[in-house]
Amino acid sequence: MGRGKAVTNVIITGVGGQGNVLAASLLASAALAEGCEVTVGDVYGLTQRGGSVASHVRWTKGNPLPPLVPRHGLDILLAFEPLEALRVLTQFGRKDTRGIVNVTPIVPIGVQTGRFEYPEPSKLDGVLQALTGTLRLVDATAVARRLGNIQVLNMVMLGALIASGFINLREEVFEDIIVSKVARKHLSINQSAFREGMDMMSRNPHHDLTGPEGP
Amino acid sequence: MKRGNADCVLLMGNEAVARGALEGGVSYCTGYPGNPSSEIVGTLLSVHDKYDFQVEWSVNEMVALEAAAAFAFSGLRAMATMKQNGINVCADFLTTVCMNQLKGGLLLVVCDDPGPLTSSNEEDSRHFAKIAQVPLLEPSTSQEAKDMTKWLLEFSEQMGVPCILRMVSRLSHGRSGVTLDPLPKRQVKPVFDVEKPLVGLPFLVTINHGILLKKMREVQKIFDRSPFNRYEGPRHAPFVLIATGLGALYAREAVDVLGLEDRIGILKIGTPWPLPAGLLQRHLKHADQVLFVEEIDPFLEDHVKVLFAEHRARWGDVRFFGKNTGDICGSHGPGVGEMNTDIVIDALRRIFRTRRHDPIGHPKPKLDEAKNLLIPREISFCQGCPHRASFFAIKTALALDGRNGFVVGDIGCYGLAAGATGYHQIKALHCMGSGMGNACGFSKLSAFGFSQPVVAVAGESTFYHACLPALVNAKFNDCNALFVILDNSVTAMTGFQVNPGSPFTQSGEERSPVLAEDITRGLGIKTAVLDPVEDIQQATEAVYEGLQEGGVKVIVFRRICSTFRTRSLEGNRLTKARVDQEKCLGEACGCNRFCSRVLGCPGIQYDREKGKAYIREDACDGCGLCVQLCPEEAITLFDVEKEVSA
Repeated sequence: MGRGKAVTNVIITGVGGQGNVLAASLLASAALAEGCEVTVGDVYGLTQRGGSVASHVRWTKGNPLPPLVPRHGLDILLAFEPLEALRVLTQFGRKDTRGIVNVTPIVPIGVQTGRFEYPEPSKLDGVLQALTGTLRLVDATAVARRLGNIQVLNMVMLGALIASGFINLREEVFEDIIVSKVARKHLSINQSAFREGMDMMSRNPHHDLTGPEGP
Repeated sequence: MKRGNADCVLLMGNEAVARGALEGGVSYCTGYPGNPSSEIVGTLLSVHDKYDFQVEWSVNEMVALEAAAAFAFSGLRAMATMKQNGINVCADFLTTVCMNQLKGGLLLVVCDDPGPLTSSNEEDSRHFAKIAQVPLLEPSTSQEAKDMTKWLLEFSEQMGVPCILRMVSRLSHGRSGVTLDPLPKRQVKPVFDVEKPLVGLPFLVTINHGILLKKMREVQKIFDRSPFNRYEGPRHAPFVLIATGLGALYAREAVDVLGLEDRIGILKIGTPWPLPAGLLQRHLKHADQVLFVEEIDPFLEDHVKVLFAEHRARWGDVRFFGKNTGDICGSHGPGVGEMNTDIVIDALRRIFRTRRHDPIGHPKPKLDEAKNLLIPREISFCQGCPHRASFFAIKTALALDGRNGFVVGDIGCYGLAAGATGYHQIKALHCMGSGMGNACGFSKLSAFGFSQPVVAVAGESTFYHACLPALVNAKFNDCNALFVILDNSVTAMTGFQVNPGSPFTQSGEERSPVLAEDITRGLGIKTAVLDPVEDIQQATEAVYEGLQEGGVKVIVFRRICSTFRTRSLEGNRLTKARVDQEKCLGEACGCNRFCSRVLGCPGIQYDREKGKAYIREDACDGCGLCVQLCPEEAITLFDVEKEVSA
């Protein structure tokens, strides 16, 4: 790595089954295709049973990086679920972290069984805002539903990330990666989802609730 | 290495091991599923029809290594894969097969789980390389995982000793770029040389042990020059950081972040055992301070200190920092939990008294306010999971029995029954098959006035893997034990691998399973076979009766894993449950919101405003368990397609 070699640290988080691991793998493949040294740290195993999932995607033009983002090292957060966004921000966030957060909650089993309360949406948004430099709240779940398959939520979010301008990877590279990595029978809907995600972000680039830069 | 070219692909560490095995000319790969190792065999299974080699899931790790060794005995290369618990299971064979001169390469790949993400212990497998006296390598990246696998298959054959590759979860499941090499063609025809028997008779052991130790001295010299070991930093640095595996990457990042590149030399060791003593001496004779960064135990740290004691006269005074001194210390203490860059940064900041890289995080009050909103996201049995019904039956039967009975079990999806999703039923959980062995002992406590009934549980894969000896022991020693086999047709927790009880192959063709009841009845043990979801009442009665009778009894609760069935066989079921909003009495019912609170199914929700339960159709498996248990009979099943067309 060495001094002066910039590192980009992204964490993609969500709930098991939301397509986190595939999204991280596509993002990493795009960075690799751009000639970067890429490392992805995935955590899963028991997590397919509805647990929290977070993939650390890191790239640089320098030497190989370890698979975990250091504390306060988070540049960009891509969260498929707001409570999981909060979990990652409290651990890795810093004042100028930029985040794209899908606002539709997935209620944990402990809330269903009455042992925990899911945070009030307005309170949660406020805290997410306080813990980020720039925050874009999006309803990617609604876009995926409209496309007829909730499973493409990950592509909607990736499209939003590319259109946000937060990362330095080209759209064309991404589109090629999607063609080469997604199974043929699901390709068309995934491509649409990616484009809808881009549109969602470009139509309303300042749909963030942060107002001026946070304190 | 050049990135961004067409030959550089993003591979998971475990996929890289699989690729390395093919490049290293593997002819046979075996393994038992266990996170974080499962994807190695999984990847090879997915390509086995394209290349000329054998790959299979074994019944357990012992058999996996023994079967793989037969290829090495006959001149072909073979590999066995497992998680850290697995190396304990095959240790007996490992520590004897190393005494033989192998004809083909034999590689054991073990994936450790530091700061356990998916394990019931935190174990450093590297100690087994020392116990068996076999070479062990530890990669830092997917590229190295591939290169080392390939190299070790060749090296094992060259030296005639089995070798070990040690991975860790974050590397096994992490991804990075890998440049691929071509695949070789097999040229050897396998032959077992009957003139050179491989026998471990006592009088031969001392001879063979001597030969093995002599080989290891040769290996040590080869490791002194290995390109898997690298030194980066100033010449004759007085401060040397010795790191291995992912530790080498954490160390590099920490040194760079703190800007200490000019003051610290990093000696990255890819060959921890046998210790490359010559290389270490070359770099350490100039050092007066040494810091160790490695996953789990202070393995290199301890052995380098022994080396230091031998060469103290030449090395002079050296101060060591690491886990033994408490300098390398995570939030749970030194030697506990996963390594990371921050742990190394903290150690270096203390040692160098540097204030660089002060945290730039959020102020504490703001962070505390945010943390107050955080709630856990616990894992639970999936919708339609047969274990939800099985443990409900066990819980109810134990309560009816009234003698303060309890469940002993082991790992697997059903291990979640130690938590809320399984009504906290499992009270002792250790290694595979431990529940049944424990039950044998609990039964003998009755001689001392112990009167609590015990139910031992295990999944069908665990039954074949580790329960058969305990079951025979229970029969042989006249135990009173109720053993419940939770047969869901796949090894679900680790990713739905097939096992002897699966009525299909991994690619979905039908096959005839080894049925648990054929084995237990063959032992003369009374065995009942039931679907616990189909009739929860009958399932509960079966457990209750089992608790009242003496002797060894087996109940097989058989129903296919609902998630596997949905994903791989039938897709979503068209039958769903619904709550009749008129009949549901909510809080007034007295059921204590049974369906949403007690049963804990992801498909059942409670609407607080209306005071009624309702079902999320997208998360309902239509299994019908709640239909049978609702006291007001407010839940019914319906056919989605019929409703749509009507």
